[in-house]
Amino acid sequence: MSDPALVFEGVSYAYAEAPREAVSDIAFSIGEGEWVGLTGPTNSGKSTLCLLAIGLAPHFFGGRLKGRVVAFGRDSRSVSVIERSSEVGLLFQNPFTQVSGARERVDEEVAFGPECHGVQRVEIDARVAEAMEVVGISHLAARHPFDLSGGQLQRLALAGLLAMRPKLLLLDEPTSQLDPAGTAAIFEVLARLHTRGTTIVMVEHRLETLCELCPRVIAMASGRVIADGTPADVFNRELVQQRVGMPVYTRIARDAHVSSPLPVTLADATRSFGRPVA
Amino acid sequence: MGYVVQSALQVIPQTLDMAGRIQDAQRARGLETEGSLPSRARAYLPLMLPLVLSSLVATQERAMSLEVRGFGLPVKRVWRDEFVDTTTQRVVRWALALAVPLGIVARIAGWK
Repeated sequence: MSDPALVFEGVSYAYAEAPREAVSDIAFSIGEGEWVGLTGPTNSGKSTLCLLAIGLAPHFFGGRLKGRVVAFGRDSRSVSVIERSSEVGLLFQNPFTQVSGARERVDEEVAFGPECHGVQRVEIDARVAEAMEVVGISHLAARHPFDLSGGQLQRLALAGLLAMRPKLLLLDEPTSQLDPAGTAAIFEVLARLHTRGTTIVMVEHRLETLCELCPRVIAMASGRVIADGTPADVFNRELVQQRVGMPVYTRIARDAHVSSPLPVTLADATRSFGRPVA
Repeated sequence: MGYVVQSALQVIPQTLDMAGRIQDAQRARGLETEGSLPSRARAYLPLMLPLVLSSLVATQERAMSLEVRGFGLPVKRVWRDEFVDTTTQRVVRWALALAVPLGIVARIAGWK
């Protein structure tokens, strides 16, 4: 059997000079091809998990790491971030700080990563064309990156990662700065990547979206994992409902005293409300 | 090295944008940004700290996103668009580069 995509083994991490640990006792394993949603209130350690997974913590941030973070069988301590970048991609929140700033055309920007990795030129062209196609920005190839809208820019940043052919894609609130159209476009791309077998770990605050898209959800609070399972399982737990909240369908169903398990998606809710309410 | 110069130039419009937004926010809270020259100059002082801080944050984010794309990997870089000079171009390029010091030397040597 192949190695799982990402494993956290008893991981605790504190940033340099921080008195408290940002995350504590994290343990989970994500298999190849899974699509996992990560959620929790601000400061619950979601972004830190992303940084740990790609190795920016501790390589970039210093700090103290206990336990092991293993991606595709390799411990994050033994692999530098730039080496790992060919297997693991991380998309940040802010589309404006992710363009390299050194390229004057969209397609050149997408080629930046593979160029750094010394990929053959013919291969780069193929990858760039494919990445732009997947995220739907092929028609913008000749534009200047800074002329794009936020949503287009975020898709450009995603294309820049895809051009490196990562097997695991981490997304830290990829749509928090985008409008609804831009958001929908990103999620469409992710769904396509998921069917192709890319492993996706996505931080998301919109619980309705999360439950709709991700077959597995990990809920965090105060630096710890408080629930890990299917959306229905996770959001039917009292602790998660208190600390993280719940999708609006679940809340309505609870207030309407629908029998548990409470629905977490629109489709489930429609079905629940179709039945006579007790 | 080329990256440093080029990216610094490209970031200027973004920084100006940010400065504008910070000033708008400060104006919205009643900071005097118009009027006489001294009062306008004073309005720039409170701009500095948030501007510097936000630039530093943006720089850190950019550094991270460069790193996750493999910038600085110790392999031979590939350039997608390589500009290959024709022989004529190369000759002209070198000739022009040589013309300047030669001209200076000639001038100093007293050639008119």
